[in-house]
Amino acid sequence: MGGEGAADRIGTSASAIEHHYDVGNEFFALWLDPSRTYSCALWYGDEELHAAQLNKLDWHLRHSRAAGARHVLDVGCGWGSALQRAVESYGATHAVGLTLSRAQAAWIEQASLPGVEARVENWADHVPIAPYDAIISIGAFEHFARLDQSVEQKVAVYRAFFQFCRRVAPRGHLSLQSITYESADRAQFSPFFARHVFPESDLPRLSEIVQAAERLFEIVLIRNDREQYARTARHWLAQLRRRRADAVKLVGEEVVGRYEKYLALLVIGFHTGTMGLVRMALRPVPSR
Amino acid sequence: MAVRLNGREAVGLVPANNMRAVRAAITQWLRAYVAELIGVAEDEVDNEITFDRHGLDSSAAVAMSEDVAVWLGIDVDPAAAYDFPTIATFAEALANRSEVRAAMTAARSDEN
Repeated sequence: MGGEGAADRIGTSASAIEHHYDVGNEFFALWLDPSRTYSCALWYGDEELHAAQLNKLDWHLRHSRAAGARHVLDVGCGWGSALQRAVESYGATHAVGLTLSRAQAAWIEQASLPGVEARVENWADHVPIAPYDAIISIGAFEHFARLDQSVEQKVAVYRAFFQFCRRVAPRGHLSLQSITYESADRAQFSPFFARHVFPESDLPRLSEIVQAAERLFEIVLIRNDREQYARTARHWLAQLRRRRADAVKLVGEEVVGRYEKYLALLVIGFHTGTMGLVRMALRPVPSR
Repeated sequence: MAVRLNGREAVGLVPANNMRAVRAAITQWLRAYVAELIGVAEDEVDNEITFDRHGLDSSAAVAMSEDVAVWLGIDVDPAAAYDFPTIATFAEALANRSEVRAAMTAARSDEN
C-alpha cells in the first residue's frame, strides 16, 4: 500500500473513500445487481439491471482491447466485476484492480478468482510487475480531484493520470467512465453530496478530461449516457426499498435514509442534466 | 397545519371517479404542503410558479415526491417534480394516473 503522503496529494484520501464504500459489503449487496457493479449501466433495450451492467463492462473491455490481453488494469475496481469479466469472458491472463477501499479488496481476495488481483493502492503509487495491455477506469475519475483544488490543479491531476496510463501501458488503449458536471458546476456541488456521500471529491467537466489527455491519448469515441444513470439509480433505489428492513438491520435507519436521499438526488441530477455520464474510448497518440 | 403524511388518507377522498375532483384534492394537498414548507399561508401559494421559485431545492423536491407517494399509496419518480415543475402540472400528472384515481375514489374501509 502506498504512503499516506501520496494519497493526500492525489485525489480523495483512503479514509474518505472508506467513508462511502466501507458501510459494508453486505449493505451494497442488498441493492446492487448480483455483479455488484456500482456505476452507470448500459442498456440497449429493456434488459434487467444485471444484464445492463454486464453490457457496460463489455463496452469498456471491448474498447480497451482487453480480449486476449496478458495484463489488464482496472483503476477503481469496486468489487471486481470487470476484473472477473476480463479473465472469464475475454481471456485476459492477469487482471489487476486498484481500490482505496479495504472492504472491496478483501471481498475480491476472498473470491480468489484465478488471475484476478486486487490492491489497496492509489494509481499514483502503483508499480506494475509488467506493462499493461489495456486499462479501464469506471467511476474512479470522480475521486481524482478535490473541491479545494483550483481548476488548473485539477486538470494537472487528470493529466498525471493519463501520463501514468502511458507509462504503465505504453501501447494500451484506455476506456473511461465518469460522472461529469453538465449544467451545474463545482460551485453548486451539493453540500449533502460533499459531506455525506463523496467527501474530498470533485467531478470533471468533459472539456477538462479532453484537455488533460491532449497529446497523450486521442479520443476514439464518446457517449453521454446521463439518462442511463438516472435509470440505474432508479433500479438501485427501488431495490433498496424492497430490501429496506434488511438494510436497516445492517446499517441502521439513518444510513439507509441517507442512501435513499442520495439515490433520489442522483435520479434528479442525471435526469435534469446538472450532471452527465461520459464513457470514453481512448488510444495512445504516437510519440513525435 | 400539519403536513398530512401517514397512511392512506387519500383513499376514498373523492366520491366518484371524477378527474377534476381528484386533481383538485391533489392540488389542495400540494398547496398545503408547500405552504407549510416555506412558511406562508395556503392562499399565498401560486399554483403556476415553479417549485424552484417557491424555494424548494432538490432535497425538498425528493421529500415532497416521497411524501405525496406515501399519501397516495403509489410510487412517484424522484424527478417527477422536475418534469412537472408547478403545483398545477404536478397535480395534473398525478391525477392522470389511473391507480391514483382508483385509490382516491375507493370505498373507505375505516370510515368513521
